[in-house]
Amino acid sequence: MDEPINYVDKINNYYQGLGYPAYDWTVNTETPFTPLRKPLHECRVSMLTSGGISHHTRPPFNPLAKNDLRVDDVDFAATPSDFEVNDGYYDTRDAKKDLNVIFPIERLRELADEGVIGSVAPRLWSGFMGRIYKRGEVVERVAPELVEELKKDKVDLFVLVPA
Amino acid sequence: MVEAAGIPTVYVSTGRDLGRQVLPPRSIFLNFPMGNPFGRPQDKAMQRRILMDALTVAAEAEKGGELVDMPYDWGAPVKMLFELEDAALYKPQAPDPTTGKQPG
Repeated sequence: MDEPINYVDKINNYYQGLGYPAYDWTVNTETPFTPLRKPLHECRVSMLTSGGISHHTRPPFNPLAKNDLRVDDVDFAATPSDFEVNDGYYDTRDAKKDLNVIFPIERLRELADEGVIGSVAPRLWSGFMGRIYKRGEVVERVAPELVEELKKDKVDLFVLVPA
Repeated sequence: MVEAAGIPTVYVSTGRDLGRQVLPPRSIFLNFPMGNPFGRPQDKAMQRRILMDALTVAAEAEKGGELVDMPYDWGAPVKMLFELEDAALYKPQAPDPTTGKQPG
């Protein structure tokens, strides 16, 4: 198997080669930790994608936008083919063919139907799609608001899928 | 943020170095292209296996910062977007407001 891509170096080189200033990457040296307190078969699971994925009843995400802090709730029962994918940081062709390659909502529902997990939360999430230069606003406002919504839905475990 | 508020999280990553510097509480790494963390279209078995891997790491992790490398092979060179031949893939435009799709 090939060595993993070094994205930080490649992205820095690419954009600085185009004349952009260096991106101020998030570098954390500590991480919080909350143990899962229930067995999986009792857990209510939600999931977030940052892949520019919008349900067709909502406006599309604009891959050219900067500091788009929008976060959409997604009905857990949604149909994968009812979404649009607009993102400039990954090859979206496979996601357009089968949303489950990046946001596996059908696989999550199957695990709930089989009793492997307790349930899928009523709301899944799509947002934080990139070009965010306002980390403070994410940390101080948007993320805490999302936490409150997760608590309303009694989410036990949150699966994060960055893109 | 979410983890600190008491809700356990697990991160499914295709960028190993990006994940290392953000240092999420728990993560799995797939050496797959960035748009394919759960594998290929219609490969339900692999999509399910990777989702189960993530849930299992979430259930079994005992300390923060754990990163588990998944052994799956993409079966082709894993390329970054800028390395693809068709520049339209990484130079997207504003979507059509009506259809939500890329123009053209």
